[in-house]
Amino acid sequence: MTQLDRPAAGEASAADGRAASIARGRRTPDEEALEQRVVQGIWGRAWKKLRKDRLSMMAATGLAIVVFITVLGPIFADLVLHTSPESIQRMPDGRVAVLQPPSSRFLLGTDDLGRDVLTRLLYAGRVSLSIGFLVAGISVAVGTAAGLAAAYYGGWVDDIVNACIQFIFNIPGLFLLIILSVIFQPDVVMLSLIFAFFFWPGTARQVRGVAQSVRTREYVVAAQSLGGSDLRLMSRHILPNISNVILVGAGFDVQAAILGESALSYLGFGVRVPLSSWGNMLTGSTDMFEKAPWLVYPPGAMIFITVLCVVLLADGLRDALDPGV
Amino acid sequence: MVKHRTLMWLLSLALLASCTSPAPTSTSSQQPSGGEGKKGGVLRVSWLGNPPKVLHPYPEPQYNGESLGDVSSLFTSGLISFDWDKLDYWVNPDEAMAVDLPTALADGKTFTFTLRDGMKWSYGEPITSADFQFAYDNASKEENNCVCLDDLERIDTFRTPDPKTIVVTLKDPLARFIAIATVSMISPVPRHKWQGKSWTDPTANPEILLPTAVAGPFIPTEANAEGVTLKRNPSFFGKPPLLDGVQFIVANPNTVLNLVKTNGADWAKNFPPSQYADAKRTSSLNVVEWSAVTGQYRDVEFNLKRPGLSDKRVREALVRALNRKDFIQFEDDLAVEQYGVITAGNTKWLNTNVEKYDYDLDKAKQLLKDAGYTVDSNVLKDRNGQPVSFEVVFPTTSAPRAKMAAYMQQQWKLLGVDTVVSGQEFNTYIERAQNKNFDIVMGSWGAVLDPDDLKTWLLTNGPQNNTSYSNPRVDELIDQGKVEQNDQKRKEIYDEIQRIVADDLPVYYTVTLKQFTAFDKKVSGVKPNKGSSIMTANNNIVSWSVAQ
Amino acid sequence: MHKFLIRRLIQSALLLWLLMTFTFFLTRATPGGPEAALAEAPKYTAEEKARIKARFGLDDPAPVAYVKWISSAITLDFGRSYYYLRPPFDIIKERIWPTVQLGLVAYLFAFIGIPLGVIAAFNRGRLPDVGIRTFTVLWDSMPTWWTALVIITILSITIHWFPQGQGRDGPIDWLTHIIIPAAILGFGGVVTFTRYLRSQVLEVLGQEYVRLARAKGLPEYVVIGRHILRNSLLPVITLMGGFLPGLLSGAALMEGIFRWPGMGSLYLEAAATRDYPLLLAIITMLTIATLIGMLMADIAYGMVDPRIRLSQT
Repeated sequence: MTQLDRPAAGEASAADGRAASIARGRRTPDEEALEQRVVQGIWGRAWKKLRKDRLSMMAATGLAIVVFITVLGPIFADLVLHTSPESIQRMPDGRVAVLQPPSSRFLLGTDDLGRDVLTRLLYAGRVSLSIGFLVAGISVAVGTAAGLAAAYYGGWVDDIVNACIQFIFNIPGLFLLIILSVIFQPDVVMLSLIFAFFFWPGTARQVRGVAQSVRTREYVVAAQSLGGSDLRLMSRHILPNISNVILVGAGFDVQAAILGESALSYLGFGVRVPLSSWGNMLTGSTDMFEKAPWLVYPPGAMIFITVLCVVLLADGLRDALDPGV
Repeated sequence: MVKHRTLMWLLSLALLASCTSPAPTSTSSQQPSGGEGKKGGVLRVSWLGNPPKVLHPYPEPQYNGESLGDVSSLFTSGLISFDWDKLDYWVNPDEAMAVDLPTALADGKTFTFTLRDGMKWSYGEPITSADFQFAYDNASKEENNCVCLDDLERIDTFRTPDPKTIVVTLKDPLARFIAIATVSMISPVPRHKWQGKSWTDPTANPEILLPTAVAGPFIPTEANAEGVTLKRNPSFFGKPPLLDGVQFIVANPNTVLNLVKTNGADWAKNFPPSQYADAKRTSSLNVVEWSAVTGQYRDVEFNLKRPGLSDKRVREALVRALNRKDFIQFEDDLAVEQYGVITAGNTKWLNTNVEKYDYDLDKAKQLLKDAGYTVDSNVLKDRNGQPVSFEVVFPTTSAPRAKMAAYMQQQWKLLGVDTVVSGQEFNTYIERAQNKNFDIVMGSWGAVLDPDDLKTWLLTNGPQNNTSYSNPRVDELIDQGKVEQNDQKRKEIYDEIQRIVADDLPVYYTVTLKQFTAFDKKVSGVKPNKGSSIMTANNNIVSWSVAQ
Repeated sequence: MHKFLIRRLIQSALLLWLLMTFTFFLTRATPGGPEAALAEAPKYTAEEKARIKARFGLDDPAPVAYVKWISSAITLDFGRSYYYLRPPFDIIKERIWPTVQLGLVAYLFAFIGIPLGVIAAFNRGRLPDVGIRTFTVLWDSMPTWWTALVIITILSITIHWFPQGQGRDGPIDWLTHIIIPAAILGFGGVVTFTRYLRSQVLEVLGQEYVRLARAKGLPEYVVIGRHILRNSLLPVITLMGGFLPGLLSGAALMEGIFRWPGMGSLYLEAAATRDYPLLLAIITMLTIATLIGMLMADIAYGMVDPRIRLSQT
C-alpha cells in the first residue's frame, strides 16, 4: 500500500495555502473497501448513538408531532370542525366577533378581524414550517459548499467566495427586497429562495472559518496524501468535522426564517393576505398581549416548540457525529 | 448581534414606520375640563412620529409634516383667527396681528389689513409690515420651494405702503372664504435676523434650525432627535399663556400612552385606537374624544379605466356587499359613517341628501346579474366566461387598511369575486396609486375645510384624482364655486357636486375617524372644539395649565 | 503576512467601489422616490412633484446622477440630505455616538454567552446544559421587539417608570436608560455565542491535547483558558467580523422603541423617506466598517490558529 505513483506535477506545497489538485492516486480494491467501511462507520455509528440519546429522540418525536399537526390540522379543521381560517365570524347580534376570548365556540378565541385563532394556527403551521426548513436547507447546502470550497482551495476561489459573502452582507437588503416584491409574486418557494440568498453568507463564513482550521489538521493531510478526489476529501474528511458549526447555524436559520417571514410582510412580500403564518400572527399582535393574550401565546409557543426540537435534534446530531463524545 | 440583519432592518422599518400612525382627528363633544388652573407648569407632550428636522416658518414640502406644524403653530402668529365652532374667520384680539378682518374693495380682489400697535419680536424689535413684505418676497420665490407656493400664486401683488398697512391683490376674484384664506396666509419673518442669510440652508442660517426671533406665544429653546422644547415668550403681544413652557417628547406607539401613565409626560397627543379602552379605564387620565371638521377619513377608490370597474353596476355591487357598520367596528368603534368627501363634522358644507349605498347583498347580486355576470359554482364570471378578479392595494404601514382589505376580500367572496390583496411598502404604494397602476386602492385622507379643495380628487386630472374620474358638469361646478360670492348659492353648488359624485360612485367613502387624545388629570383648561389640533384651534393652549 | 494584507486591502477597496455603485443604482431603481412621500399631503400638486424632482436632481438620468455622486463622494462630499438640508456626515456625527454606546454595552452583555456555552458543554446532557439550551431557544423565539414591549409594560406597572431616550443627567441616569435596551440587544448575542461556543467546546473537549493537558496535572482554569477556549473561539471571531451591520440593524429596533437617538433609527428614516444622499452616506460608512471588520476577523483567525496563518501567507 505504498504510493509509488504519486505524481510530482501539479502538486503545490501546503505552504502557499492552495489545495493541490492532486492527480488521482490509484488504489487497490482493498483500500477502497476499507475506506468505505470507515466512512459508513462514521454515519452508521452516529445514527446508533443518536438513537440512544433520549433527549434527541424526544426532540425528534416532538418535531414529528408538530409536523403531523401541521399537515393534518387543516384537514381536521375543514372536515371535522367545519371552520375556515379566513372567514369572518359573527356574533348572534350580527356584529363581527372581534377579539373574543377563548370559549366553547372559539377554542382559542378570535382575532381582530373575527377569525378563529385555532384554525388559523393550524393552517399557519404549513407556511411557517415549509419556510423554516426550506430556507435552512438551502442556506446550509449553499453556504457549506461555498465555505468548504473557499477553505479547501484557498487562493482565488477563496477570494471569489469572500467577495460574494461580503457583497451580500453589505447590500442594503431592504431595497433589493422592495424591488423583488414588485417583480415577483410572493409564494413560499420564492420567499424561501430570497431568504436563503441572504442567509447563506452567514453559514458560509462560519464554515469557511472552521474548515480552514480543520483543513490543516493531520488527518486531512494524511488523507490528502493517500490520494483521492477533492470532493471525497471535503465530504468525507472535512465535513464531518465541521458539522457542529453547520448544525448550530441550521438551528438559527430555521428560527430566523420563521420569524423573518413576518418582517417581509411589511414589504407586502410575506404570505399573501389572508394566509396566516406563525410569524405574522405574532407580529400582528404587538399591542395585544395584555388585551388579547390568546393571540400572542399560541403562535409564540408553536415557534418555540418547533425551534427547540430542531435545536435539540441538531445538537444531538452534532454530538452523535463527534467521535470524542 | 443578529445573524440575519436584513430581517431585523425590515422589522424595524415596519414597526418604526407604523409610528406615523394617522393623526386621529376629532371634534369635541361636550367635555369641559376643570377651570383655570394655577399659573405655570411645563406641559410635556408625548408625540408620535418623527420630530421636525428644521423649524422653518415656510417649509418645503419634503420636511413639512404634522410634527413641524405642531411646533410652529406655537411660535408663529397670524394676521387673523379662525373660529372652529362657527367655521369662519374672525379676529381674536388675544392672538391676531391684524386689528380686524381685511377691508375689501369693490372689485373683490384687493384686501387691506391694518396691523395692531405695540407688537414686538421676541428679541425686542417691533414687528412691522416690512417683516411681512420680507416674508412674502422670499416665500413666493419659486426656488425657495415653499409648500405654500401654489396658494401664493393666487396673489398678484403684495404691498406694504406704510408700517401698519398691508395691501394684497388677487389675480382673480375668488369666493370670499378662499379669498380671505389666501390673503391672510403670510406670517412675518424677522427681516433683521434673516437679511442676507440663506432662506433654505440651515448651515448658513441657524435661525432655520432653531429660531431665536419669534412672534408667537412660545419660543423654541432646543430641538433634537428626542424632541423639541419651548418656553413662554415674554414679548408676546397677545394674551400670555399660563404655561411656562411646552416640551414635545418623541415616543413610539407602544410607549406614548405609557409615558403619561408613568408621569413621564402630561399629554399623549396621539395614541393607537387599540389602547383607547385601556386609557378610558385609567383613573389618572382624561380621555377627550371628538369628531373634527378636517378629520381623517377612509375610502375605497376604483380605477375607472379598468375593465369591469368602468361599469357603475359592478362598482355598486361591490359596494353594496360592504357594511359601513363593520368598518366602524374594525376601527374600534372610533369612527362614524361617511358618504362623501365632506365629513360629518363639516356641518357648513355637508349634504346628507345623497345616495349612501347601504349594505344589501341581494341587491349586489342582482346588479351583477343585470350587468351580464353569471355565478358558476361560486365563481363570478363575466360575459366571456372569465372569472372576475380584482386587486386591492394598500400600504402596509396602515394596519387598519390591511384589516379592511381582508374584510372586503371575504365579503366579495360571497359574490364569487376573487380578490387579490396586495400590501405594498408605503412609497411603492404611493407610486402605484399615482401611476394609476391598480384596480382598487384603499385611501386615507384628511378632510377638506373649504370645499374648493375637493377639486384635488374630483376635478378631471386633479393631482390626487387617481380614479381617472371625469365629469364635465362637476368640473364646471367646481369652477363656479371657486368664485361664487353668494354664500347660499355657493352651498347649492357644492351640494350638487356631492350629489353627482355620489351618483357616479368613483369612490366609496366609508368612515371618518374620530379623534381622541389623553391628558393626565393634572392638565386643566382644555376646551375641545371641532378643530383637528386641540392644542391650537381656537387658541386653546393659552388657557392650559399643569398642576404641580 | 504583508502580501496577504495588501491583497485583501486592494480587494476591499474594489469591493467598496462595487458596492457603492450597486447601492446607488439599487436605491434609484426602487419604486417610490422622495417625492412619493409628499403625496399624502392634502394640497399636493403635479407642479410640486416636478419642483421636488428638479431640486433633488432626480431628473438626471441615472448614469449621469451616478457620475455626479461618485465624483463628489470620493472627495467625501456626500451632498445635502433632502430632509435635514445639511451635509449627511453632520447629521451622522450627532447620532453615531449613542449607537456605538448601545452597541458596546450590548456586546458586553453578549459575552455572558461565553461562560454559558462552556458550562453547557461541560455538563452535556445534564440539567445545566438542557436548561441553558432551552432558555436560549426561548429567548431566541421571542422577537426582541416583543421582549422590549413586555419589559416596558412590566416596568410601567411595577416601578411606574421605563427608560425613554438617552439619560443626560449624569452617569447613573445614563446607565439606567441604556441598560435595558442594551440588555435586550445583547441577549440575542448571548444566545448566539452560547450555542456556537458550546458546540466548539464539545468538539475541543474530545481532542487529545485536552486530555494531555489534564493528564499533565494542569489546573482546570489553565486547561480551559489556554487550551479549550483558544481553540473554541473561531466561530465567535467569525461572528464579530459581521459585528457592525448586525449591531446597527438590531439597534435600530431598540432605538425606535426606546427612542434612543442613534444611527439605526436614522438609517430607517432615511430608507423610508428615500433621503438618497443621507442613505448613501450611511451605507457607504457601514460598508467600510463591515469590510474592515471582516478583514480583522480573518487576521484574528491567523492569530488564534497558527495553522491558518501559515496557509494565509
